[in-house]
Amino acid sequence: MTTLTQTPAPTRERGLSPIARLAGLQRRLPLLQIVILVALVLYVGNADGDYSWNDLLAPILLQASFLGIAAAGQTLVILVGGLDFSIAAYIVAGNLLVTHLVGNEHWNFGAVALLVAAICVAGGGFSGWLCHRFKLEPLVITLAMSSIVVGVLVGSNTGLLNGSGPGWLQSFTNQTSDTFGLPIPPIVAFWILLAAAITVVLLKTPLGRRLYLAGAGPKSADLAGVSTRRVWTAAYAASALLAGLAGVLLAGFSTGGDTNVGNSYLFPGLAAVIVGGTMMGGRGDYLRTCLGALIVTTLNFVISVNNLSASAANVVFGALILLVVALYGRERRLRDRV
Amino acid sequence: MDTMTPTEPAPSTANATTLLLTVDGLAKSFGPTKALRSCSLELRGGEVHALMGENGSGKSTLVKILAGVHRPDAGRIELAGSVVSPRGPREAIASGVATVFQEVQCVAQQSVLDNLWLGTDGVLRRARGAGLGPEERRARAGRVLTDLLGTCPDLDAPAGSLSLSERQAVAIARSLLREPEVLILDEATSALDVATRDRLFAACRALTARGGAVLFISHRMDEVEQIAERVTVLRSGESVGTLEKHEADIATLVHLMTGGEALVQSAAAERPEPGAVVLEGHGLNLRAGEIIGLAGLEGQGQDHYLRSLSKLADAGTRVGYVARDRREESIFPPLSIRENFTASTLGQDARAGLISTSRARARFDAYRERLKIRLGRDGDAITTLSGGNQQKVVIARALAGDPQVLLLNDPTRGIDIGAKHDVYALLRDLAASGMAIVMLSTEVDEHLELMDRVLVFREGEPAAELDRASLSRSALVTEFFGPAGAQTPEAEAQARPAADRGAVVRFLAEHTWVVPAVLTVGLLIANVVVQHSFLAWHSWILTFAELATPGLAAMASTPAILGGGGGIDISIAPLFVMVSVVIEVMLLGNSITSAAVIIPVAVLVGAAVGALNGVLINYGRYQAVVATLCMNFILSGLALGYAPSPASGTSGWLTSLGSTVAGIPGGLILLAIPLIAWALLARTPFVRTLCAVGGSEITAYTAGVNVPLIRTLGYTLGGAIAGLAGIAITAQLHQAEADTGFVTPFILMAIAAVALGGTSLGGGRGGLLGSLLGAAVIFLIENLLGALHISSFWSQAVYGATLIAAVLFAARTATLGKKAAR
Repeated sequence: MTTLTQTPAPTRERGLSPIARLAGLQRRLPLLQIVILVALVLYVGNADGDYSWNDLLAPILLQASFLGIAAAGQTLVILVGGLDFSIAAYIVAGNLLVTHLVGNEHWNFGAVALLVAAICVAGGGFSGWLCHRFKLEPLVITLAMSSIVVGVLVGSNTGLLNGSGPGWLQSFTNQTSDTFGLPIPPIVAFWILLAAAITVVLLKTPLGRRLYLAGAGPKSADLAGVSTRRVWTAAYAASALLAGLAGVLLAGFSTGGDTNVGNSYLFPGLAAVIVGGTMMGGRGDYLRTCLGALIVTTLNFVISVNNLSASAANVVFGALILLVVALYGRERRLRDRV
Repeated sequence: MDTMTPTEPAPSTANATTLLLTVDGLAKSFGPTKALRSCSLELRGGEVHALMGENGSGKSTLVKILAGVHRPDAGRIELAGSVVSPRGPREAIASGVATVFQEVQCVAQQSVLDNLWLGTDGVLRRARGAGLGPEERRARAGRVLTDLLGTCPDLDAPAGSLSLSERQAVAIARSLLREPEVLILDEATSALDVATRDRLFAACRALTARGGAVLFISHRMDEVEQIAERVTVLRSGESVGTLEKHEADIATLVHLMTGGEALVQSAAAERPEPGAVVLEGHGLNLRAGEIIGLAGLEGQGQDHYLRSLSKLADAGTRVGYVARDRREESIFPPLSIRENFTASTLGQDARAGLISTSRARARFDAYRERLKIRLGRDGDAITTLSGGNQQKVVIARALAGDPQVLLLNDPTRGIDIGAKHDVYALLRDLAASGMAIVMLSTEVDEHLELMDRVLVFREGEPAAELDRASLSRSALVTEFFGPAGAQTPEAEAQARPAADRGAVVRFLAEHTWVVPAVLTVGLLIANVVVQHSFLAWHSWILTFAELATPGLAAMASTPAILGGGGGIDISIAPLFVMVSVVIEVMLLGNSITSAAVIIPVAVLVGAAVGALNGVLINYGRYQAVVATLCMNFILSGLALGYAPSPASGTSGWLTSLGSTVAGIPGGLILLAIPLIAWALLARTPFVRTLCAVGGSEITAYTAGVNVPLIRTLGYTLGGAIAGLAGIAITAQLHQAEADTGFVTPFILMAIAAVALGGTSLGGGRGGLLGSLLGAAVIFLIENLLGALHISSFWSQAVYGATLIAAVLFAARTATLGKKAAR
């Protein structure tokens, strides 16, 4: 009778083939991504015949920092199982408000930053709440919201289109500036700090863990006492806020306001998130996205050293995402859903 | 183990009886869980054969293998002497095995008639043959349903408007209409009222009289006694014996199902006196230290009742809840065992706001010992555990909140017997320490073993309460059915809605194009008021030329969405731009100007890309958004690569297509093509099947529809229409422009138009005409704003707002339509 109370113990990973073991390791650490990144950097350095900090690594880091910051919010939203296509709009909002209000109207920078934050949190939060409350397709709602944000902003004041960022912001985002004597551009140092902060919040605080729970099992989370609606609202608000931050920083980097500035970060940002290995539904983290941003940026360098057009980058990103998703992000079979 | 082995049916006894279905040594594992270890059984022609076993004994897995859903890891299935291995439900049905599943399977939006014949036809061709003409289909469907229901419901009413019992009857009738040799009923009687069930049994006897066989799976001894000639029992994934009807008394069956172990243990074990009342209401006074069982036939309201209890508790009472559906409602599949445990109590591990892993681990270890959870590392994914251990982790999560009241919804469903006993012991312990426990269970034995009191549910209400002294198997089962005749058809009839309530909502839900049509007319009037010249003939030509591209793009986006399952194609806009680049750069640029070349090439390029999307999504199992987003990237990149700056050129026929051909506006001709094609397709089974797939993919799949193929064809059709849009934009602009600033608004517009057109973004309801009208609405709004001299930035904002309103409206009418149909 006692034999009946035996529960089969889980099988241990023993005698697995080296490939299976590597696959298991890859699930925990983004090894493949690191290998690809190193190979790409070496390739670019080799093609230029130049491995120096100033000509190879600093430019990559500088450009990756903008992409990484712009993709931070997308990471959060994808973790909860959504998708944010309004990132470009909030980048534009941050960018235009700073260039116009600080550059042309000479407002206090802090006041403008607060205004941007308020717009982003309100708009993003509303999208997240709406999608969750009425079970709407996030892609559609965020696209619509981005139309509204840019339309209302520029429609109400076309003067927004001809400002320029404040001088200190320009040197903050300049490759040749240093950070307290260190030869790192301040924006890169800022990105590193931001990445550390986001990672700690995601992995170590109840707030961050709720994000994973809501993404990994929405129904389970609600029944376990995690309010998924609040999580969705917060994730989309944070996403818009981080996009707005990227827009503000871009006001120093690019000269003058531009309604298209966001477009160069939306799709590549998404590529960075997915190539890094963050998948819908609670798998991934922000450090992976940082790796993804570095890979995507370096790929852009590869394309330019080969004298390929910018359009080739689109084709490469599209194919790359398909490849990565094929490795570990596909849907359950129909027969497993019966 | 004792040696209770009942007489195996010796094959030699088959004198007049023929073996219809033989199952030999079937095995199937899902990850670490062995759902079926070794299952063998024999179905004779002319018999009703019952299959019994506890939850988790492998019955459903066996049924799914026989139905073609799963393929076995080992073992053999023989049907009438030849080995079969169906690769899907369609093959299984074709070979003569039809299955009715436990969950009621209907496409709510479609008519009863369509539901009954779902899966019979091919993709474009109706199945032909004896009894399959349109009139015969209707007559046969009516006959089979009348046999089951006594009367025939309106065959043209949407299936969603029927009662639960009637819908289950429709699902059974669907299988009967296939005239199977083997009919499998997997707990298919649970939703039926008594009269319908008796008529079903008559239908089963008619089938066996013809020489067919029925495999009957049910929890209910009375049903098995009433209908089955033999009973096979499954335990822990193994068939442990087959009994003839006269051998199959309850004691023997229970003995077999539980492995000879008396589930009912010394019921006299001391129970502490219950303490103070902790939860009150709904006719229940729950006291500390009590275990109360919720019993009844499936779907009698006990599920809802249990969930409502957690809301009943006042603020001071801590309530823990363990949900019924482990995969969907309890676990977090990609996360670790430890995190699955801490989900409800994250705050307890925080030190200065940061979660301490060691503290979480220490907390978990205590429960790990107490609940005998077997695992390797607590950092492994929860899915590496067996069902029983997963459930223990879930229970530990609820306990970690230190609840005073613990609510469990059938917690031993699908877990092995060892884990069950661990759970029972734990619950007794907890009750002894003063916790109040309410547990819903579908197993009579659990009630006998565990409960202090049992509430028996009938028709949504707790109908009887049995205390420990009066608790017995027969008393419980008697209460399940209540006093004779209590379950009358009238009760069912009352549950049905008044037919005319919500008629308007239902009309709108069924005719999705009406609202956009009304909007279009209203906006037309508004446009004419603002701009009188809008009605002139030359402006009609212009209007159609300008409407052609967005209208076609909207129609192109529709089939993917109709097919449901998250289907969407956001690469339609870059696709038609790519097609226009192909026309300008590759064809016109090389002096190929013939319409006979350009039109087929454009449509084929579109269809090929659409098909590629469809294959990636439906066979490669990519999320539709992700796959078409990548295609979006790739197509825009290619288009820009070939046409870095706008490429110009036209030819005679293209120019006239931009204005008029034979006096008819060219745009009108282009827009009419997909509408006509769609109307022709609607005469084939395709459109109906696509909508059925979108309405309920599982129903369509198990009925034998090739779901991936149908959906892929939907994407292909959308791509072909996008090819036409490529012609339209070239005819309108005489150039191909690939700039992202030009393309992006079309992506937004196309989806907005589909939503405005009344097509539900969840799939299953809508059509091309609605999408065209939706595009017209957007066009007219934009035209109106332009005529009012409002800046293009503002009209962009209006766009966005219209889109949100449209999507919200579509979602609301869909839910309201569903409610009205109930």
